[in-house]
Amino acid sequence: MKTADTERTTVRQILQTALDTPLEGIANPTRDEIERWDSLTHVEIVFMLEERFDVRFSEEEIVALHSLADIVALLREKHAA
Amino acid sequence: MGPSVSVGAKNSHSVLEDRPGAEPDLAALSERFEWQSVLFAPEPERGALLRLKAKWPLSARRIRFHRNHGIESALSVLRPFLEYAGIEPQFVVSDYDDSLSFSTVDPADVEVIWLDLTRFTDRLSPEGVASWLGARVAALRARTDAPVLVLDWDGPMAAASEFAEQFRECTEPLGGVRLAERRELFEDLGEYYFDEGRVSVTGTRMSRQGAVGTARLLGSRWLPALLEPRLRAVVVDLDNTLYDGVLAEDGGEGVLLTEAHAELQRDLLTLRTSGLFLGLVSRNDPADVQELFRTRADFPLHWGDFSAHSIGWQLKSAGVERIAQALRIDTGAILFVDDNAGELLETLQRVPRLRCLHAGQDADRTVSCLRYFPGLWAFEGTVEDTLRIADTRANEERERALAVAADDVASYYRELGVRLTVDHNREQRLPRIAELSRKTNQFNLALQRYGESELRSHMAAGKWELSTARLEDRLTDSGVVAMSVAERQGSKLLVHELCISCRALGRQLEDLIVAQMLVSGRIFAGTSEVTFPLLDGPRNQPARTWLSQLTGTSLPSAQETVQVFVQPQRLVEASVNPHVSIAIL
Repeated sequence: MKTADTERTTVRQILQTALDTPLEGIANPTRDEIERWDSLTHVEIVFMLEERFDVRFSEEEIVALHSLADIVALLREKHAA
Repeated sequence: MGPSVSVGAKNSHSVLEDRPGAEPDLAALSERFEWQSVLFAPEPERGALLRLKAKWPLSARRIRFHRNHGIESALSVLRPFLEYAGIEPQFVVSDYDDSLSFSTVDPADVEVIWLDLTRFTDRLSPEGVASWLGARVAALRARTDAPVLVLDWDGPMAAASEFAEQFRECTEPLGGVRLAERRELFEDLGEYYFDEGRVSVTGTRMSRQGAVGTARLLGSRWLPALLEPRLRAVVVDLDNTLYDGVLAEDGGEGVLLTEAHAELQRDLLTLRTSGLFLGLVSRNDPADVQELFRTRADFPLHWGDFSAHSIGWQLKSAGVERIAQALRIDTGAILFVDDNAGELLETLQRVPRLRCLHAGQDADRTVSCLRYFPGLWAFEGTVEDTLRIADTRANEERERALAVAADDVASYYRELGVRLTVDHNREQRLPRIAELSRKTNQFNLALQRYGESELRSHMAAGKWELSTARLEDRLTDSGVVAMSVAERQGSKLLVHELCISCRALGRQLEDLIVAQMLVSGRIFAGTSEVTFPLLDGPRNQPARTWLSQLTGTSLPSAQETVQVFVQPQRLVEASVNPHVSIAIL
C-alpha cells in the first residue's frame, strides 16, 4: 500500500512539473480539467514517466491515458507484468 | 616558460575569513554548482531539467526554428542549458514545412533548420538533399544576416559524409552557416536516438533520449558558440582536480593519476590545441609543483602547457586575477575549475564575472562538465586561435625587450624584426573580421558586433572598406590582430569600427596599425576629415585612451555614441615608421 501511495505521489509530482501548475485539492487531475494538459505536454508527461519508472508506453497506451488514475493503473499493470 | 606569478606569504586561515562582516549570499553563488549535477549527468533527467529555473541575469535571445517534425520535447529541456549559458531563450517555431518557405521574416538572433531529412530521401539522393537544402539556406540568407545552424544528416550513416561535403560546398560562400554534427550523440545512443514506433503521437522520429541529447548539444555547444564570445582560458587547480591526492601530504610520487584524471588532462590539452589558454592556480609550494611536473612523466599535461601560473599561498581569487592580467584577458573570459567549493565561492565573491566549475571527487563527471560547459566548444579553431598561445608567451620577451630599449624604441623594432601586412576587402578575411568584432573588448571604439554575412553584403555593395592588419616578428607570427570598417561619405571618412586584439597591445604599434589600415585604403585619398564613433563600454578604456592621445584632447564621456574627429594628416604622420617593415596587399 505504501509503495502504491509513493507511486501516486511521484506521478502527481511529475504532472505538476510538466504542467507547471499546482494540483493541490484535485484528487484525480484529468486532461479535460487541466487546460495546460494539451497533446504536447502529454508527450512530456509520458517521457518523464518512462524515465522515472523505467517503462515504455505504446502509442495506444499513450493515447488512452487521460488522468492521474489512468497513469497509476497502467504503471501497476506494467510492474505486475 | 609562460608568465608566472610570484608567491605570496603563507596564509593558512579560512578563505572566507578575509573580509570580516561580509555576508555573502552563498546559496545564490553555489546554485550554479548544483545545476552541474543535472546538466552534465551522463543521461540528464528530463524532470530534473524542467525544475531548474535560473536566478541569475540572462540576455534575451530570439531563436527561430524552421522544422518539418516535432521539436517540443527538445525545446522544453533546451531552456535550462541555455539559461546556464546566460541566455534567456525566446523560441519562435515555424509550422511543419517540408518546403522551407520561410514565411516569417521578423528578425531573430539565430536561425535553426530542424529537419527530418529522411522525409526527402524517397525522391532525392543524400547529395540531392544537400543541394536542395543549400539552396533553401541561400534563400534564407537573402532575408537575414543572422547565423544559420543546420542539423546534420539523420538518415543512414553511410551517407553522412557525402551529405555534409555537398552541403558545405553549397553554403560556404554564404557565410555564417554551420552544420550541427550529431555523430558523437548518434554513436553514444545508437539505435536509441530514434523511436520510429511512436511518430504519430510524438510528431518526430527522435526518441526522448535523442531529444535530451540534442538539446544538450544545442544549449551547451552550438547555440552558445553562435551567440556568445568564446571563453579564452581554463584555469585549473591541482590537488584533487588534476589528480587524486594532495601534493603537500602525498608527495609528487604519491598523488594518483586515475584513468579519469588522465582523460581530464588530455581533454585540457585538446582545449589548448583548439586555441584556449591553460592556467594553473594552486595553494602549494612552487618548487614542489615544478618538481611534480618534472617527475611525473605519466601526466599528459606538462608544465609548459600552462600559459600562466599562480602557485603560492595567496587566495585563489588573487591567483586567478593575476593570471587574467598575465594573459591580458578579462576575468569573464575564464573558466576556473577547482575541487574546493569554499575556495570557488571565495573566488566568485571577489571575481564575480568568473565562470566556475566544481570538480567533484568523480573525475569522470568533471570530464563530462568540461565537454559540455558552454563557451568552451567552438565550431572550428581559426588560425588566430592557435597563434594566440605562442604569441602570449612571446609577449613576455617583447615586454622585457621594450623595457631594456625604453629610450630607443627604434632598436626594439629592429631587434624584433617587426613586419606589418595590411590588406583590404579580402573575402577570406571576413570570418576573422567578424571574430575580432565579437571578441574585442579592450581596444574597440564603437562596440559594434558584426556577423560575417552582414560584412559580406556591405563589402559586396561596395559601401564598406574592410581592412585587416597582420603582425609578425622574429618571435612569432601573431596573425591578423586588427581590423577596421570604414565608409566614405562625401569628403569624409567614417570609421564604423576599429579593433585591435589585446595580445597586440603594449608593443607601441597601435598608431601605426590603425593609420596603415586607413591610410592605405582606396577610400582615404582626398579625405577632409576622419570620424571615429566612440561609445564607452565596460572595458574599452585602452581604445579611448589611444584616441585621446591621437587627437591630443580629453574626450567627453560617451555613454551614448559621440563622434570624434581627426585630421587626415595626423593619420598620415602616424602611418610612418621606418623601423617596421610594411606591406600593403
